[in-house]
Amino acid sequence: MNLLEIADLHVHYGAIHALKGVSLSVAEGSLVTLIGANGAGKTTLLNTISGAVPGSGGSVLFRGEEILNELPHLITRRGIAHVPEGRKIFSELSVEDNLNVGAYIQKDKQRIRTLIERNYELFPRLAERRRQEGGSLSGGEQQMLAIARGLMSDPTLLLLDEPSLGLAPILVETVFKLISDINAMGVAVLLVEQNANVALQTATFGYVMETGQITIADKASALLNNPAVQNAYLGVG
Amino acid sequence: MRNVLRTITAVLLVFVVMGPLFASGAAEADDTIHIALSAPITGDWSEFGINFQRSVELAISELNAQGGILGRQVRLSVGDTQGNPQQAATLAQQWTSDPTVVAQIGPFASGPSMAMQPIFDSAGMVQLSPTASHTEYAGGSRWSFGIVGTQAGEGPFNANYAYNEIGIRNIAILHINNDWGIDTANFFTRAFEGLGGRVTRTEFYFEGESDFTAVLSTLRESGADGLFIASFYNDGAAINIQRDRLGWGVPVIGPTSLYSPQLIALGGSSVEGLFTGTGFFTPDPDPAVRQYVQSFQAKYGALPNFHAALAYDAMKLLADAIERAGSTDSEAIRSAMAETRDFPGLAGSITFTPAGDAVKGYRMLQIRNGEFVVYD
Amino acid sequence: MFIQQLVNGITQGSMFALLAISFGIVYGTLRLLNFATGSMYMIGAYFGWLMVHHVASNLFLALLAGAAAGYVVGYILERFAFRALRGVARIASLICTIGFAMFFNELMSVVFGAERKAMPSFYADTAFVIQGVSVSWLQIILVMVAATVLILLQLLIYRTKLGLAIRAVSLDFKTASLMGIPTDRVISLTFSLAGAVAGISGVLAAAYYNALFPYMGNMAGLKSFSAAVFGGLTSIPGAILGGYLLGIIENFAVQFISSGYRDIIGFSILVIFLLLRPQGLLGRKTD
Repeated sequence: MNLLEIADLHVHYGAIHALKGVSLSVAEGSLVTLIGANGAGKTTLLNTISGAVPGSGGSVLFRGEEILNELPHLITRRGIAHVPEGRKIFSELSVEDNLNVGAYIQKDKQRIRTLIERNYELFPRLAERRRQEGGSLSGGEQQMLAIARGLMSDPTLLLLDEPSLGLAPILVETVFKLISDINAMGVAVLLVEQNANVALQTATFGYVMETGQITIADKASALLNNPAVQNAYLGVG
Repeated sequence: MRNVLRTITAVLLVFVVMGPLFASGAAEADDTIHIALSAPITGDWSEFGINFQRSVELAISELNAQGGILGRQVRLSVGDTQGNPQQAATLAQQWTSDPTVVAQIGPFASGPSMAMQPIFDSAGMVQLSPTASHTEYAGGSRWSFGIVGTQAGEGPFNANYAYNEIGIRNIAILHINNDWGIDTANFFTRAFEGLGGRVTRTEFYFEGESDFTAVLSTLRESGADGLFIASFYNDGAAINIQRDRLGWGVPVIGPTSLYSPQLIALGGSSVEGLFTGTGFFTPDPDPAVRQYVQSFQAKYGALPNFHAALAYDAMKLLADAIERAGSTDSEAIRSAMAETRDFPGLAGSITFTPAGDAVKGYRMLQIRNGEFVVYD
Repeated sequence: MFIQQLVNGITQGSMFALLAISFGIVYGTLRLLNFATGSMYMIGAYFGWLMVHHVASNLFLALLAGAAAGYVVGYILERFAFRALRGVARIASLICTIGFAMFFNELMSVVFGAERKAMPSFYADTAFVIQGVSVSWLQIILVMVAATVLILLQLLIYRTKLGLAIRAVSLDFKTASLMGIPTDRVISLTFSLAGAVAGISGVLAAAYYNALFPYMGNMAGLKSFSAAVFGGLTSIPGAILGGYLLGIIENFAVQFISSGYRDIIGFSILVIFLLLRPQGLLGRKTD
């Protein structure tokens, strides 16, 4: 049984049919990426998984249980953390308080302390700036904080929406290295990216989405060599 | 569910906002005599408005039990002014556009009364306010009448007591900032200074104020040996509680508006010794007064006050004028009303001046041991 | 005289500060001006009065009753004026709070009568005299209660997990829900807390002025809105500062200018700050 199993998922925004029967799965501990053009429906898919956007049909099974249209905070409790597009840092809270908010569902204070320390090891820059307000961080630091905050709920599945957006190339590399490290700790990752090249190099499996539908699903290494993918998303040929 | 809630909320809002418009009685095709009452049923002045309604309904039930007016039963429509001149003007339009309305009683305060006046004037309908006492109100239209007596009469009465009986020479004045309050303060000042007294400082407050400590501290500084308050009893109680708390122990005197059992209930020991004039006095041995006080208390579980008695007088006076007119013709009622001589009201006899104001007699009361007694 | 007006101002400022906080908590969390704040204050006063008249003549029990009543009214307001109107323009919620203010005012005048009710005196004895101005125990209690509530709120918001959740919801409630925060419950609780604070303020006012009536919240609500804007709508310390400054300034205005200028000054501050410094004295420039 896969950790996340999405079947024939439909989403409507009023008259707009944003997702038209999407099926996708993420295995326990895997790193799966979803690539596609702007407006293809990638962010909508993540928002539907985390409960922020209501689905109008189909199913989303997490560990075999239906979670479609559950309240977002209950989905988080099940072990899904969503790092939204644009980072959405609580800009007036300190770095450490951002992490504390991320740990809202954790009851054990000792556990929260451990998770914070683990994050500071992963992201040493955040440790240096723990007292600073979130809004005062640079773009790259904010992205790191957003991911670190997502990890504070100790998730089994991490949903990442465009982590490379607006980052300098050198930082992009750092962020993706961190994503690999997180995955190596046993956290399954569903990564939405426009930067298909890096995403496919990091992931084990990939999906291509076009106008609300999955058009190709294959191993990441196979997608890197797929001419259609190369033409449309990798800037080759 | 959400839509249901939204609908409920919307309907609720409509009722809250439009409620006053639904207040008038349903029209009945019949030969009753239809009287309109305008009063502040809701809003800051609602306790006065509700007393108006109670008294007028009491008077009508007595009239109907005795066979009505001109042998016809009386029916009442009540409209809510909310104490607001604009709302009052809208009500006046409503009354004058209803051909069955014979005459209108109300409203409570001078401001709304004067806002309604031009509409009654052009439509030719009698406007009888139990309590409007602004000196420019009744004279403003031949259709307008007031029975409370004006401050032109009450001011000299109070000033005379303050100066000659209580012996105040330097007085501070605190008044509510509306037509009535300004008038009351002005007429008192003129009469008091005419007697040779001095007004040390005059201050005012706005409707709805509950903190008087600052203004009382200022008045106290002015070196007065007495305080005149042009307020209603509810504000009067609050003012005295705070004056007492400041430790400012000077004689306090005020107009008829202070006279109410509520003044003592709210003010407690702080109003002990206070002087107030009145035209109506609940322990009055007069049989008519006693009967009214008993009926009012039996029906509503509370003692009437001066304003309530005036509303009762207004309804009985209107009934008397219609009887004398012999018809419900507006012009006939107006003439009969103007010709009123020594009508025996509970709150003093009523004779109109050419302007349409009543000339009243007053008595001075003092609060002693928590009760109003006639001051002698 | 100076001392007298200062004492008056601080006493009145305590009540303004609590109401301003009530405004501030709701505005800070939801960007909603709750014009039914004065109604929560008034209803709090009535339940305090019920406690005194029917259960026990104790000021502190009355304060508890007022807080509880305000808490419930806050909950009702959140359900109907906010949650039921989610997704509709924000102005609908604002208008709905005005509608509720009228509804509660009329409801209380029907249920309890429109006339003023007397609240007995509590702790009216003089505590100390400073330059001829006597200060009663009630005035001291009033300031202490206000200070205690303000400190507890500050601790709640800045030192507890719930407070962190409230701050996160106020900054971005969508993202807060992704962190596992039950945003509906937090918003509802915020409204209820604001109600409880307003209810306490209402009981204090009824005790201080020895009176309560259905419309007592109208002017108090508007004044404290002024105070909240003055200090900064989204800042709790700002609301406190605004409340006390407004109380003191108003009382001095009565002495040095005229009693008529009292409200003019209060509302001038509102207009000036809305025009020139909408974030108030201590608020942050956001949005």
